[in-house]
Amino acid sequence: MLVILIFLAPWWVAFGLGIIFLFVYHSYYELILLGFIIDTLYNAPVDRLYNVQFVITIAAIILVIISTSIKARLRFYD
Amino acid sequence: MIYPPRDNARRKKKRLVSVGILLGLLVIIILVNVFAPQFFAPVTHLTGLPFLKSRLAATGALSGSWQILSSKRSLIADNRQLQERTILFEALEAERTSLKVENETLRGLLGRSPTSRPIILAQILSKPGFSPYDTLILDAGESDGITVGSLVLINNTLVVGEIVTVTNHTSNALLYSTPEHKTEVFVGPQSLQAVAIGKGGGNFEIRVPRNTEFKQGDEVRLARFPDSVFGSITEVSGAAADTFDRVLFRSLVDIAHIRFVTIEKQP
Repeated sequence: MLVILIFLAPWWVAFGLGIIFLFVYHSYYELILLGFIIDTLYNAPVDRLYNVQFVITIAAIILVIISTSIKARLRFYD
Repeated sequence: MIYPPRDNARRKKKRLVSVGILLGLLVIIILVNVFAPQFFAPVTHLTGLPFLKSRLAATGALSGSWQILSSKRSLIADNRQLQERTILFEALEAERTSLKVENETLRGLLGRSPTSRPIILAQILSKPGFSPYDTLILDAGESDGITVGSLVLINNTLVVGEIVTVTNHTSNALLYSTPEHKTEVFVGPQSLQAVAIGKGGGNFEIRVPRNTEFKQGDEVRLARFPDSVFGSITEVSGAAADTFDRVLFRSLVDIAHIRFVTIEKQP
């Protein structure tokens, strides 16, 4: 559903919901897929990003790694 | 709750495997970015095209329906104002056409006839507000003769960007006003060559030496496309101690209100 939302709403709506789901669910690797679709849909070599065209995807992977590490230390996710 | 040591070790191992897979995915994404950044774009564009078009149709229908709720008096006032502006713009258009014909005639006499390239009309499927980057998604692609580097114009006169990604039926255009994007321009009546840095939203900044006398309203032209006005200076500022003045200029048209653009096909 969030994948379709990428095409129907601004990118930050679907990605923001994905970040929320990342902490609601025990694991939410779909955030990486959302970031990948956003990047392949809208990407362009932009000077201020040093021509990196997968910024959102890389940010999503880093967020998932960080959340995996944090959740291991929180009793809430036991 | 206290877990037995074996369960703790198993969970830790599972977590390490997950992180390892994610790091591997990160390396793959970096490699794709370096060697084939456009490889997956055709699939995404093809999948998303029906949704983008249906969103456009839905927003168009909704914006038209909104007018029903407006009072008749305000609609009459708006209509009258728009009619007056139309008459003014038609007069300006006639003068512009006359000047353009005169310009082309004079160029012809001097042996510098402008070369006209084929153009194609494209609908904007997505604007910068929907994109994390300052890009447009257009409904013209490789099948329409569009290539990377093609200029994107509004009303076939005002250059706003160029094509950076092309798929079979769609393309992505990068706007020149993308933050930190550098564009060569000619500024003012003296046509001083400078580098314009995008600030987003159709705004640009240039740094020029202090002894240049630019004022608000002076024209800025794109070095690559000097025949048409690119923007108009909105502010000139600089401290007395600085050796450079900061010149801000803005594109003549707000892309947020544009539905169609023209794309100049490369030869």
